[in-house]
Amino acid sequence: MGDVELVTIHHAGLGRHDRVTLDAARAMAASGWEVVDDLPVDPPAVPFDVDPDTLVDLVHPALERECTVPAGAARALLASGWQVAPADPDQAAADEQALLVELSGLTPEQLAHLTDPADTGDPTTPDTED
Amino acid sequence: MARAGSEEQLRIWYVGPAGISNTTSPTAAEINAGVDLTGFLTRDGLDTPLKGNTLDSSDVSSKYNTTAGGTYGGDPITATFHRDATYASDTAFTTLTRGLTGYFVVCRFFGAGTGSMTAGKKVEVWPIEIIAREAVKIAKDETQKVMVTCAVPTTPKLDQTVA
Repeated sequence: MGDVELVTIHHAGLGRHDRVTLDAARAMAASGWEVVDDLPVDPPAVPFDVDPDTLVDLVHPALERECTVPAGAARALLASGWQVAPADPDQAAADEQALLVELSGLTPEQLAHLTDPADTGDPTTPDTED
Repeated sequence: MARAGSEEQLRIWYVGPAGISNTTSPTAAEINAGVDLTGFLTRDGLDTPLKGNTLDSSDVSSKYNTTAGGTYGGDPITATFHRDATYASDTAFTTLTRGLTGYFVVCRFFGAGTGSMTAGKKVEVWPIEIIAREAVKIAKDETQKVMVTCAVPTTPKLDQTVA
């Protein structure tokens, strides 16, 4: 079965948003719900199939706090203004580099040489400085 | 005089480990950033023992067993919650996993309503580390429940005003 298109709906009287299939949205229109696709609802940031012992870093922008809790608590706290902390870009780059080293069999120095934008791309041409 | 039971009065929140910066003066925003577990707590589900101990200060000059004040507290606290047959709604069970740290904030006399915490309310702030999460023994005509047992790693604050 392919992906089912979801749309965002809003009920002015209830003050609630929800995500449902297009067919459901059409049926619910009779009950006061209207499609408002300009207000996307983010999917849960901590899916229910995550191992409950998985630790999740959270931040609370308004309180300016950070904490690390298991997935279950993280999921519950998301409803109270906490957000999953963005990944550390330095760590992400380090992880990517380690993966490249593992897959390529090259050393980090050799990889750096290959990806150097100043490099001519000709491995026979020695690097020179003016 | 306005005596009241726990029903429609007591409220309980789980607040994350960095959720309260000053336990002597928790803020309403900090508590509202927690997880409201009130709707899951059974009517007799909260037990926060705080027993005191005595020192034997008696001596041979008297037959009376005199005592002096000793340590207090140290007993684990327990909370029992209803389960929800829908996993996505089983908030107490899925939130309170073994090893979780943070705080239970208990407001004994919140008053009617289920609204958010506001400044001026009196609360207890219990630092917790969940050391066990166990299913309560099943019984006829009873909902399934889960009980968490918590160590209290630092001194609880028992009569705090919400800022």
